[in-house]
Amino acid sequence: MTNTHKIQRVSALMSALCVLIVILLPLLLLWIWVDFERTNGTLEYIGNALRPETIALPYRILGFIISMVPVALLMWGLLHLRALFELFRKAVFFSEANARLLHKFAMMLFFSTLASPIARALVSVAVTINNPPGQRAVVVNIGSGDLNSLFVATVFLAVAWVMREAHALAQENAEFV
Amino acid sequence: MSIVVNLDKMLVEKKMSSKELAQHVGITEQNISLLKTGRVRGIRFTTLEKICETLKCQPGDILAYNANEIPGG
Repeated sequence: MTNTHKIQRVSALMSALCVLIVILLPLLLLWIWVDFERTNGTLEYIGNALRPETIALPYRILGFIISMVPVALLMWGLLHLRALFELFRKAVFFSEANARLLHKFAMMLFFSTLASPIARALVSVAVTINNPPGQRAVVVNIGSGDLNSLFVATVFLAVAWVMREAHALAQENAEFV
Repeated sequence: MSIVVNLDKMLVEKKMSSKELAQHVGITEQNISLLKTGRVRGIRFTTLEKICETLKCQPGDILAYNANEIPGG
């Protein structure tokens, strides 16, 4: 099996994995907000102000919608990543589309990471708004995961930039006989 | 472009078709056609070498500089 065939097989797997993640992400998020009592560990960052029993359904729905924003951005990015792997699967490695799709995935990952702490802060308001005065909270929390994601997104942006230049070189090379 | 490709003339002179030349040089007939019309950005030394070898000529027989041609045209 040649390296190209191996890349095509791995890319087909990665493409399927991207689809699976895109399907699972909103379902997992929905599960977190539906089965709140069991999964409220994901909201530990809110601390003592979090009282699962006081969160009414409309606020859970609001919490779900707010937390869906960074997830939706990530899903949109993953769809671009899937399209990139589909190109790799078809043995298209140096087209302009490759660089464009990687750039879009990186941008979506970047925006999703930026949106995450904002969404978490808004969620903390939504889930503590029914608490007695003085016990409501706005929790701004930036974790090492956010910084890691930002770093990874920046790396992908740089790689996409290099890929664009590589495409220009490949294009120039193709005009030589 | 100021560089003129005289491959057409050489092929007529040597009584060889583009297809035959393409086979000898190891590039596509389409690329030979692009080269003949000067619609390429450049020519590799290896391609030039094989063309010269096949047509038994010098690079100067194929390529010429014409100052009257529009640069970049």
